[in-house]
Amino acid sequence: MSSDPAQFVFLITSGVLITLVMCGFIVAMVLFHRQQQIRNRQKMDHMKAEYERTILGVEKEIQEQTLSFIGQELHDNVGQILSLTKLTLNNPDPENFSEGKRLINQAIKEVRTLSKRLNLDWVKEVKLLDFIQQELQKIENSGFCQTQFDSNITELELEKDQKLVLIRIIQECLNNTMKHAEPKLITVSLQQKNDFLELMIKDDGKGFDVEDKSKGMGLHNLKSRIETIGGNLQLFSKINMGTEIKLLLPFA
Amino acid sequence: MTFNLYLITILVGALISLSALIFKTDRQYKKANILIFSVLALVLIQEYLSEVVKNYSANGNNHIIYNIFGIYLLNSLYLIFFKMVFRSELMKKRINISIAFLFFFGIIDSIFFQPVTKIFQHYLLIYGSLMIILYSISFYYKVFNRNDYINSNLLSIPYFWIITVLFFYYSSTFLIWASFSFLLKADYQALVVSLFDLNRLMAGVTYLVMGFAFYAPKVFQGKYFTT
Repeated sequence: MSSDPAQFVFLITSGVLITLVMCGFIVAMVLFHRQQQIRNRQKMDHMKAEYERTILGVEKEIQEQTLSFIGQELHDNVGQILSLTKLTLNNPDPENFSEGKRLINQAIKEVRTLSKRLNLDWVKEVKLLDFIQQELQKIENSGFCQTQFDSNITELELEKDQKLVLIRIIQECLNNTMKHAEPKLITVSLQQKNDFLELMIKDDGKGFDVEDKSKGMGLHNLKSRIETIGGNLQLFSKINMGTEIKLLLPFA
Repeated sequence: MTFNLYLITILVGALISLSALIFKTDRQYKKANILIFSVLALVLIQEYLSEVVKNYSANGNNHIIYNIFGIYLLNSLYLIFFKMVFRSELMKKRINISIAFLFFFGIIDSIFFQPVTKIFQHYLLIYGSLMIILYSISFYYKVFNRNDYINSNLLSIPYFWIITVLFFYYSSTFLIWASFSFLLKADYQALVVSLFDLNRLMAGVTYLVMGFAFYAPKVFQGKYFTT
């Protein structure tokens, strides 16, 4: 026990001072933390808005692409079948009548197939693995170049929005490759690593200078899209050495 | 602070901590609550035993009690507490290494500098205090730079209260014991006594806050908005 009055005064004064410092410290911490929370909330709101904007944009793009495809199909496919039907039915003999009936059935079938593409519900149904394979098959069927698909995944569960964004990015990457790269082989690889999904789209085409600012906008769009679903995009390219795009998406 | 008042403070802290455990204030802090209750019980036993040894032993030397309880056990328990606070494996590994070093330095100190039964091993206390200060700063860094607890009211987190009082108490302990030799040589014995009194006062506040800390989730929840 402090018997000396000077010691007692020292103890009381220091005790009060330390208490004040400690209280000040706690108040400062709490105020700073509150500011952090406000900043974080604003950031989250901004990210949410950005996410919704991206999803809307992606949906719109896919819809536009689907509609343009349908327009093309109506013109080149159904339109042609109906024109042929009209020509066939101009000569009303039984053989032509039967052929006309077959053509009309084919037109009905084609219209039904097309109508399925009018909404985005197919995104819910389609599996990412199947989608990639179909896209690569389309490229190969067009005779544009060879394709290769590689995956260690048998079953992949993704949220609709994540799948939508990934589908759009894959389409965009493949379109860019076909438009600019002149490749002989496009390789797509979908791998499940420890706690993330790795999607790689690689070509052996012309490649480009990644420092070239004129190519920056498309890349920026791709990056911001994958970031809205919590992923990350890495790009490697060299002139005449091809391009490799890696998308890393952590599992929630 | 008188010795009896100090003991009562520790006892109150321990009882409140025990009541938080019994009333299950927040299940997510159960392990930490048990640990803090053990710390408080240990401090109570340490203070009681040291007083008994002081009064009944031939030379009144109770350093062994303070060394074993106050330095090795208490510092280890505080470091284990920090292991519960940090989620990162790297931090847990660092804390394990710090505990191992505490015992390693303890052996070296006991053999060459400060025999465990004869002298209060204040070099080890300085090391332990430094570790606690560093891990407290790491905690604040995580809270503010890594956005841990960003969705919670900071005052409702028992860890925040415990680490804040530990940070202040061990900062003062570190300063006092780091300057101890200098103060004694400079003949500031009266100041040393006052500083130890002050340190004891802070210890009392620390143990009391540690006891109340596990009621924080109930008392402060929702006092300001959560995102």
